[in-house]
Amino acid sequence: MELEPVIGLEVHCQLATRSKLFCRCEAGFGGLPNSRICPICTAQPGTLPVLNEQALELAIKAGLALSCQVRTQMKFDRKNYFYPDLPKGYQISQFDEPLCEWGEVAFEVEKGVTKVAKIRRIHMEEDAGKALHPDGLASSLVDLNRAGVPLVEIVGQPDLASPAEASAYLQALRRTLRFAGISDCDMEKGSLRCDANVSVRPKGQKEFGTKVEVKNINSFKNVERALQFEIARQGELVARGEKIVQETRSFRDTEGTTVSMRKKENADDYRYFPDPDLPLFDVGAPRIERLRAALPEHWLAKRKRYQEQWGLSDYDARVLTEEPATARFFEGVVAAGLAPKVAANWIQGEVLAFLGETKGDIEELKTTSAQLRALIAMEEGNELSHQAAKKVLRRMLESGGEPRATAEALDLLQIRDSGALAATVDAVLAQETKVVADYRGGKETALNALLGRVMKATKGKGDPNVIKELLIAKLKA
Amino acid sequence: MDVREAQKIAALARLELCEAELARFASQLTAILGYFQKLGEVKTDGIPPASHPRDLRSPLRPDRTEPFPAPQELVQRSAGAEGEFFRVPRVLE
Amino acid sequence: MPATPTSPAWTRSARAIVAAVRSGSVRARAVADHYLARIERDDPLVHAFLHVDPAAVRAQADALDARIARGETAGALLGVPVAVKDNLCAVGSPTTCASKILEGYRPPYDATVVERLRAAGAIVLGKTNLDEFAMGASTENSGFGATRNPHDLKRVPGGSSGGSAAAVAAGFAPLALGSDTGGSVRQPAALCGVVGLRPTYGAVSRYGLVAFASSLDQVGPLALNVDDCTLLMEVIGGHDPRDSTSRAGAFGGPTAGDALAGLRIGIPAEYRSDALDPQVRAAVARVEQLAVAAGARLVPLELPLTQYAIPTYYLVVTSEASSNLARFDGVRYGPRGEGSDLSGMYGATRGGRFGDEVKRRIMLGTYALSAGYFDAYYKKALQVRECIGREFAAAFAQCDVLLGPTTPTPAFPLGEKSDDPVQMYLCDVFTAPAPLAGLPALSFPCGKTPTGLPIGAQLQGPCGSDGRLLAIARALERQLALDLSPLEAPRGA
Repeated sequence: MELEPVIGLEVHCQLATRSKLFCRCEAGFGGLPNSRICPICTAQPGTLPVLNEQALELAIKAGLALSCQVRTQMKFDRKNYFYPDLPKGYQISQFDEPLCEWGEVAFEVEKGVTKVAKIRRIHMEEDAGKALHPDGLASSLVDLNRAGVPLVEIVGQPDLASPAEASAYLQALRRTLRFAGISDCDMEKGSLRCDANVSVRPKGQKEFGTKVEVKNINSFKNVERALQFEIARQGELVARGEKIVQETRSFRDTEGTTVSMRKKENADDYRYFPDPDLPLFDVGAPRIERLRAALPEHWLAKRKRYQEQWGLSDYDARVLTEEPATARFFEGVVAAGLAPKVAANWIQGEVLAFLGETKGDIEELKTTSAQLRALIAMEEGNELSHQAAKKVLRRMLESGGEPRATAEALDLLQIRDSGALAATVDAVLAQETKVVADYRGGKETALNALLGRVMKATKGKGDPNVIKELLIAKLKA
Repeated sequence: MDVREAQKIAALARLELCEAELARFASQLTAILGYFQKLGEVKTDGIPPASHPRDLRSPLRPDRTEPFPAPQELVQRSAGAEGEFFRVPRVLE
Repeated sequence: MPATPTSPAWTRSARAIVAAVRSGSVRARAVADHYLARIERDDPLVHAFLHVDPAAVRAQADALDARIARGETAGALLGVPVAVKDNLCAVGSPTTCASKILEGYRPPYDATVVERLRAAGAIVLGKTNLDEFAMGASTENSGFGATRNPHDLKRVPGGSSGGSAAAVAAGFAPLALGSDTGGSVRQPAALCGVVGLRPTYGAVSRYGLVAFASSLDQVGPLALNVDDCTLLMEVIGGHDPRDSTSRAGAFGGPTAGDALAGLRIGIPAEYRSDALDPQVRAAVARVEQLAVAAGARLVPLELPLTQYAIPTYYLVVTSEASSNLARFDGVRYGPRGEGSDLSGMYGATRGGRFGDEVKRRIMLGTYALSAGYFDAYYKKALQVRECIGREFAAAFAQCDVLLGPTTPTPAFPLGEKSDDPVQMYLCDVFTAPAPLAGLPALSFPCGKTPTGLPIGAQLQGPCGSDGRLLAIARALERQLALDLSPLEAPRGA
């Protein structure tokens, strides 16, 4: 019996706000434990939540970027459970009326084959803190820096048919969120977290098999690893005629396996009910329309536009829409007047190559698109040779700086003054008597040899056009 | 509500109750819930549940930070303060 | 029996204190000393207070006197000591909610209302006793001992703001803050013979009020007379950006002109039930007559859902409370029970330190919200709540305010109802409906039984009519012409 997997992802994404969801603590990363806490996020008696407007708007933007329907009125609910990293004993979340519903993610299964997976819902909620369980200690330790950080949970339909699809879906989802400016989606910092619901069923069967939830998938490469293991595990159970238990399993990175966390039959009863501290919110259609109008271009639309409008190759368009900062940089250079193809070549050939070599981040680039444009203008104006321009750019990428100042510092500006070049030309002509004779004897190509000698003598800085004119004039004399 | 059910609810609410308390609460809650059955007399078909006063709307707060000046003081008031952390007995799940 | 020394004239009202302190005829320190002395002498009998720090009170008074000496005499409550219910956070004093689970807890911030008291020049006198987490109608459910009614020490002061009401009645404080979820300001105000206002939901900030049932909790003023009650309400009311349920302008402010002429007073038939004590009935009837004599018109009407208010109210409050009280887990503050693992610690802390009534309500609420019962209990209650709101709205189409008794009976003896939760819940029969609809309601003294137990009458109005209720109560207070001065000493020792 051939089995097919059915996969749906639940993705938690931290919204890029300054402050937490319901209090004014910083929603940062790192730092000392419990350094970003206040009476509200530590649930001191009597404290109350007030919603961060930016969090709401980012959540709406997430919904719009993923083509969801967005509610014009919303409420928050309490999800009640006890855990030491949950200060209030409940999480403020959204239960039966999520802010956004029914969206989609388009992703590429393989080159040229796109598939669309549905999003069931997106809701806002506050993050819990972090409970650490150090080995050998009879205690657990709690850090509440994360408690109250704003999240959206993006619940996908079980539309994914393989680990590779799941991975491609997650990449596409991440790129969409990043391009829309909703989150940095950094899995290492925990600003993107992914749980997977996995089941298997005989190929062709309509009904779903028993669902297992896999948690703690903490990196992109682990999405496929965890799912491959879990699908194989379930396949073996089916092959042995055993029943699959509905449960939550945790992915173990070191072993590449999943282990049981808790069985569903003793699942918590979360006792969801509307949070009485937070009356209804008028989200408002005007707000939604304002955000829709201001939504940055979707990366897929960009990719299409780069090819159709700007004539880039499919490959170039892909590379330039990998990261929002790359696209931003590219579009900046084009906006500054450079031909898109030239800009694409420079960015790919030099900027991205540099970042690849140095493992740098485009977000932290020391060169602006305006500076790159100015540099290329110098090349166009014959102030720099192509090779020199590359050298200047390299230095700019390494240490920052303006193109002209950098070119001067590197002494790479072309010498265009014929007076300054005349002496070198004379010296070369005096030295290369044979080549001069060849030229005068009608061998036109000898001129190039002479040009090369002069260029070498000027360490490549001489303007070849000026030198050529000088050579011809002097040889005719 | 029988004692077993009371036990289940107490566990959900993280209340450790002795046998006598469970028995007492089970019988008192049974009486109270019996009295509450009275609500069945009110016809509520099509009536929306009023979780909040109808005319109230929640405000929104600008996304500005204002760090609490003494976060460590909040840790220090815990019976289990340990360095920068809140310490709790080990979580067994 | 030794003669009790007569208190100074300014003890009759907070307004008199402000005037005396502002004019310089009395120092804030002298005012503070007077009340501290009264507390020291008589509170061992009444037990209205859980925490009083005389040195801190004197320091506040001295700081005020220094300000006044510099000519800074602003402040609507200049020099007035205010007793604060111990479920309101105030820096410098414990906040325990009369619960062993918060024993020794000192809040890191001031409640908005406390902040406003301080800004108005008031002195935070101390923290008053209550039923644990405001759950009760007698102040017998305190984890630190019951409060007694200063009019008869063998009787309860009502609750849950029993400490605040008793403090004002006994002359321990000219003003007090309470909180009212289902009657917790009005019921003790009635049983202790003082004025108590439950403001429109959202009129007063809940920031810093330890939540019992968030959709119903309101902070409210208690005072000897309506003018003082208005004064305190003016200080604590108004919008607060820290509370998402706070409203702007809900208080309405006092109404000018003749409050009674042409007033349509609704008299619900349900407020005259057979369960009503005849003395209470007679006292309220006298208020009706006085109102009519002053130009008001009585509008007989029916509020048939009144009988469903108690089950509705208790399902809503226990559900919300079961969630609101989840934070008391011993992890971040408060004492911690013994347990070898986390579950054990949780169970021991919560099982060992919450009192009986609190545990009972947490159980009830947890049950009402749990899978399988949610629709039958919690959701049903919210639907009936909506119906009750509509019934009130229909009533206020026919009349301006509703008048009736605050409580079915005067103060009852300690212990009488403490073993029967349903009987205790029925104390709220007249006070629970208004909170379900978010309405303001006010209790004011309207007479006494022959044995000297106070009786309260209740006015209820539509949302935002707080100022009008105060104006009407003030007019009725004049008509009634009762002696509203505080007791010189507790009775029935």
